[in-house]
Amino acid sequence: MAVEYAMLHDISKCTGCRACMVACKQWKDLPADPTPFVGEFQSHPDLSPTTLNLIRMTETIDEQGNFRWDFLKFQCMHCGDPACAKACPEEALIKKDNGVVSFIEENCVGCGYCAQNCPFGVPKIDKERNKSTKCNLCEDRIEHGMVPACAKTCTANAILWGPREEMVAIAKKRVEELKKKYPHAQLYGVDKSDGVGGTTMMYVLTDKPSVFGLPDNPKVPVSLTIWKDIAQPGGKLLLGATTMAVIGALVSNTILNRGKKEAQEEGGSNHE
Amino acid sequence: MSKNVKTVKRFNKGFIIAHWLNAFSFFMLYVSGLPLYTDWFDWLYIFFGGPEMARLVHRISAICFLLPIPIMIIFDFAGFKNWMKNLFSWKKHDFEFFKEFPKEFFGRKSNMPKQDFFNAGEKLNSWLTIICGILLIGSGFIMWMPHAFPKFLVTWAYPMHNVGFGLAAAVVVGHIFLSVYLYRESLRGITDGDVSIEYAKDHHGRWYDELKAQGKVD
Repeated sequence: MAVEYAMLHDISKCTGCRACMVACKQWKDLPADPTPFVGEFQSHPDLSPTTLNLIRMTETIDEQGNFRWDFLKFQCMHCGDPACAKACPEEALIKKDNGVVSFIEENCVGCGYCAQNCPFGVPKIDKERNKSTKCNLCEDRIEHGMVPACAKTCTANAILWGPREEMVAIAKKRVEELKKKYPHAQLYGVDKSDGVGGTTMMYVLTDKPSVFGLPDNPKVPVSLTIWKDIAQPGGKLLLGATTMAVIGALVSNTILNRGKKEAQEEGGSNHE
Repeated sequence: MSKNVKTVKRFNKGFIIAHWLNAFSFFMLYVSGLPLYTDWFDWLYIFFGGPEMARLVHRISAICFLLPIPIMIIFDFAGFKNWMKNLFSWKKHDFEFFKEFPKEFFGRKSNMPKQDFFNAGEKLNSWLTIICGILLIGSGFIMWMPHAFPKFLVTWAYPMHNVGFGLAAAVVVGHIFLSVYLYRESLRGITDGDVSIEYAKDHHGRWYDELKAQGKVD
């Protein structure tokens, strides 16, 4: 049994330097995504096929009337119960024991089912190559005992990487400290009984998830469960049932009408 | 003259073309979509030259799939009207059909009541085809242009598409079996457009009675 890992982003420590974004591009050899200046600190509006890790910036005025800037590292959440993997018809997305939702590009046909069903809106389809794209937690690095590029480079120690148990312990301790200053401070993705089975990308948040643009109660879409667990096997069953009925009819017609056919041919009148 | 007529017109060209365009486009849609239904059928990609070409074929066929009803309305409005009239007519002999049909289906003798131009089985087949068509076209349109629709509609389109083709494929198996094996002559009705008077009498008694009343057969 492989050790289950987790990444922890403590947003109270994040300075929004975006070194993690640069490290991600560097390790994955992705080009820059030029964006126009729109009068705010936010660099890119969303993830893209060439931006797999994004610092999202939010401006908040809290209950005490204090202005606050928050930075949240946004990328694939690596859900415990990944909707993308369930939706994928080609087994291109697989949840691994180490916590990573692995992406096998050769299997991907670019259908976009993962993008449509992800509760966080993470996967982006590269239209030119007809492939889905998302963070894979630097699988190639962690397989060799290294730390994902973003965590390695973090200047503020806001991104931590290690065995999940250790990360959860750190997160729980940290959130208790933060609650003194931020009454709504909470953990995100730690609880494995939530709607997506917990996430390998965990957060220590200073406020409610929706403040940072995260869904408060992320869920595997009900439509996906109906599709994959009812409609799909139901369709196969129905096709199987009619095929069996037809084969049954073919056999019983042959047996029952063997005598009749001969009689008809002799008689000459054929009322087929 | 009418004494020598052995066959009777069943379907006009417009109806026949609409039927086969529907059949052909459904088949193409089915095989080009099958690999995305289950990866057992990934080998089908080879015939299309990869997933992107399969998608192109699927979309071209989808356009063809929209055409049968307009073709029917434009080129055989009388046939279309007759079809619609039949579809909304459900009488005692229609319900009795389903009691007698299983016997016929498995090759036993049945006591089938006289049927309309479209027998109750054909009516059911038509209804299922129409319902599946609406499900498939409606959800397919959303899946083709997901950005034009709210997210919940897009996510629900996938199970709807699945229900549509799952049901349609099951119906098609029965439909093909009945036409090429059990009621062989019905196939002539939708290819050459006519059937023998005997066939009309045996399988569509009420239609035959109408024809007789109109003096078209004797």
